[in-house]
Amino acid sequence: MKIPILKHGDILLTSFQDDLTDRDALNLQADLLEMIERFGTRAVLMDVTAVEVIDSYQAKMITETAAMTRLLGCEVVLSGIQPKVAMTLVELGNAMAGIRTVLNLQQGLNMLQMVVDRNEVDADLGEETPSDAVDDQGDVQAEFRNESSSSAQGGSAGAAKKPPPYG
Amino acid sequence: MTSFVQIEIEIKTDKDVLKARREAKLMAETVAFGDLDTVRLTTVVSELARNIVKYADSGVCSIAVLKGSGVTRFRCTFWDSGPGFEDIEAALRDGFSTGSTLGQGLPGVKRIADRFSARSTEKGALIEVDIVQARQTRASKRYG
Repeated sequence: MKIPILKHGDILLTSFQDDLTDRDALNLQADLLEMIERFGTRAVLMDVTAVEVIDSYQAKMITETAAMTRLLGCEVVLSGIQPKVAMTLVELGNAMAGIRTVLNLQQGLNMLQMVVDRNEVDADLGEETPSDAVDDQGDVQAEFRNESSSSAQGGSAGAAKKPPPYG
Repeated sequence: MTSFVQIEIEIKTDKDVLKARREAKLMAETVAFGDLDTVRLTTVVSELARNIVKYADSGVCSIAVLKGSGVTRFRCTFWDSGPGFEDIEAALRDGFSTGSTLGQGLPGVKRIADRFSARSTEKGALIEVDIVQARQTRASKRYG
């Protein structure tokens, strides 16, 4: 069973299913990394809304897939953990550390769109000297610094609850 | 009226782990086990079947459900002909691992299960877990 990877603008989106064999998982990792490289993707959304069971092996597979995409420079977010799965995971002693999580697909897309937009601002600002940027675009620089510091908070506790600065 | 159903699945590959999960889920749905309890059951089955694949050549998983007046109880047994646990006490301690996951397998299963027993000889390992349909809050078990 091949897992589809969808391109949603500058975000790559993949949806895990329940009947994933080890081979499927390895293929997914390879396909995802290949697409990131091909499209220059900076944002990946991994959705597990359809997943009814996550044991420690699968939790590791998910967090490792995320780590691989991060090594390619991506911001990666996990969405859609079902409440009953979350309860069982914590009881199992696995809180999926090391990956940012959001409640659902829409929140994931919103968060990653901010990352994509910020990267575009980065690219624009890079052509000016820092002092120019402060004079001409003081507001944008201030917003950018706020976003940077909030994204430095690790783990799911750092999931931004602030409204998008450009929204 | 009491009813009892038991199935056995040979566990050799990751596909067998998926099969064991599917069967467990099907049985749970048949006896209206409830959403959260079903996830507890399938997670435990998945975790222990996966251990067989990881640490032994092959093994057998048996899933039995006893539905009586008032309580529904799943009893899952996992037997494998692998090298067994050298030190079963250590394996049950949080953080212990010989494999590449963080040793969260057995201690986590023990926390989730309503009853847990593990026996190991040089011939292999036998693990038995019970998952009971929770009628009252389980908070007292977790935090008490």
